[in-house]
Amino acid sequence: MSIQPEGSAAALAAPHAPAGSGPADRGGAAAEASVTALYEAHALGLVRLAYVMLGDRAAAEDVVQEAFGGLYRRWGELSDKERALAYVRSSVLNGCRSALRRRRLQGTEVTHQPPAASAEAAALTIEERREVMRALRRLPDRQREVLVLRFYLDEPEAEIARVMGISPSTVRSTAHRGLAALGRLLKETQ
Amino acid sequence: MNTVEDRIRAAARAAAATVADGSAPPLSLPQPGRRPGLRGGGGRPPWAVPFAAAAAVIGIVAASILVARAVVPGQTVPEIGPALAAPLPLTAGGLPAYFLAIPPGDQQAGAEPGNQNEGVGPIPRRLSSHETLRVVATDTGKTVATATLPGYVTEIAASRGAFFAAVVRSGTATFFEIRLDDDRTATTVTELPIQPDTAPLEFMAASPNGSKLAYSTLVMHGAIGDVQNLVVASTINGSEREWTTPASYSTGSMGPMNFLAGGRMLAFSWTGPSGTSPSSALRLLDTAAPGSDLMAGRAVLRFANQPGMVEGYTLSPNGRVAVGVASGLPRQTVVYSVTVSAAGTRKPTDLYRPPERHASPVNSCNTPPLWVSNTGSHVLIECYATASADVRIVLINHGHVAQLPWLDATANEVTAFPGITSIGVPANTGG
Repeated sequence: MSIQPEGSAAALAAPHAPAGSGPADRGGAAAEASVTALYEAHALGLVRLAYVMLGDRAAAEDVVQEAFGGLYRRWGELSDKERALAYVRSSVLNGCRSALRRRRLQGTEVTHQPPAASAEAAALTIEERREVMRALRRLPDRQREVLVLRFYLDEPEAEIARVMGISPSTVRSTAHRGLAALGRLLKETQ
Repeated sequence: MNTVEDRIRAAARAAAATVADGSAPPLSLPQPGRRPGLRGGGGRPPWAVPFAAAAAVIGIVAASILVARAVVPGQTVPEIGPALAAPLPLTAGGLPAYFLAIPPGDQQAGAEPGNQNEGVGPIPRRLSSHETLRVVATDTGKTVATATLPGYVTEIAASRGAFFAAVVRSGTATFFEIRLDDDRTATTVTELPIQPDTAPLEFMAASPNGSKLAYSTLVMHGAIGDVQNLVVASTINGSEREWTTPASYSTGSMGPMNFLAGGRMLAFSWTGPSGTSPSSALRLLDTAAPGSDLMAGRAVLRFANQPGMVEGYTLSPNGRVAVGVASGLPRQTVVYSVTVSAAGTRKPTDLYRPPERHASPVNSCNTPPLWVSNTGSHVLIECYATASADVRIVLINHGHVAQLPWLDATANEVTAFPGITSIGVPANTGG
């Protein structure tokens, strides 16, 4: 399959379609419809995921918008449309990773705002929640991502492995290392 | 609630609950043709350019590896003491005859050794005092011997002749050598004279002859946050050197690492901030050179920060070939390598590109490869089966995929393969 220029009508057409083989607008409209449908179904969950990672609502929304923008730009090259959600999740994780690094470089810190009321809120105090989230963001990227995908989203190891591009055994070992590291970090603040 | 997992769940879900239902903003898609950097007909999409750039740099990295090996010897970690383990045998096909595996049943999240007073919750009794690993025969997938370690095994590695384990007890990591006995039915476990470490341990590698262990940790450095630390220690007398990252590099992280043949140069994956230096790359560090700056070496293979792009690689036993897996659209996986000849570097070689769906028994592979031959012609790697999405252990042999179903059970385990082979150029000695 030839690689089409990004943004061109051919790039947005269905896979294997040669350049200029169909109405450009039809291909673009189809991609927009597909990506928009995916967004409407999953944006809220992804914004929540990014917010857990970043603690900043605006930054979380930006990351998700960029992830879907990237998916839209590459829609025509997607060999397996069923993997689109996994691709977007990967993009969100990478976007969060970059955002956290930019924040570290800038020396800025974001504090999670506690929810007004929720069942989960009752399980931990406000300060305890902030402490856990701060400690999570101090972990290495991979450990943080595995822990969030596993214990916030309750994703199975196989799906975490696909989203992150690592092996299931690495997911397990990374989760263990992450929990151990997080446990130590939380003890430091006691 | 007294487990770390419960606290993560509660805190993360409480945080997520602040994002109210229906509050996600409308989608704003980029307009075709207006994205900065787009070119008209004939150009390549941006995602392809980083991979091409990475692939182009692979040729350079192999030459760099060769040059690095010619450096004049300098300060080294002293090597004195008892004899090191002789190289383990090979299969008839040239693969390591044995490898070490951590059984999956022992890798339960939250099973950190310790006690309830440490706030990590109930600990399975079997992991509070010991964990048993298995030595597996590559040709059969069967356990030939076991090794019981006095605590929870957090990382394993292999030299040409022995295996190594980092064991955590009460928040402190200690290090052990596991040597397969001559009759190949039992092991000898020896605690190494390496200083225990309380920092979270991430990756570990053994030098080819087993005289040194390298391991990475994450260390808090006051207000600047966490930084990566590297320790290279003698398995014989425990002497060690330490490297750390400068404060300006605190946003990066180390990945898998390997000693090159000779045991002096250490190659490691580095994931750096997007768009800044040092960016994600395979880096080489001369462990004999003076200084303590982890970034003192050179980047020899630059990765691209794309979703699912290259995160790791595996070096051949002689350090002449780097095999990595790049995943990105439109292909889910490309397994590639670089081979170096006496005349210089060659273009990167694609070892395996999954064909269209259902035309191959596997359709995507995991990084890093489990083992690589000296020429890169043979690669042992975990891949997803096309039909079932189960993980399979396959041998890529000159572009052809051969499944090794007797090893599939180990796809659920963390494994360590000795860096030995008889395939291709004979492995160098020393290290």
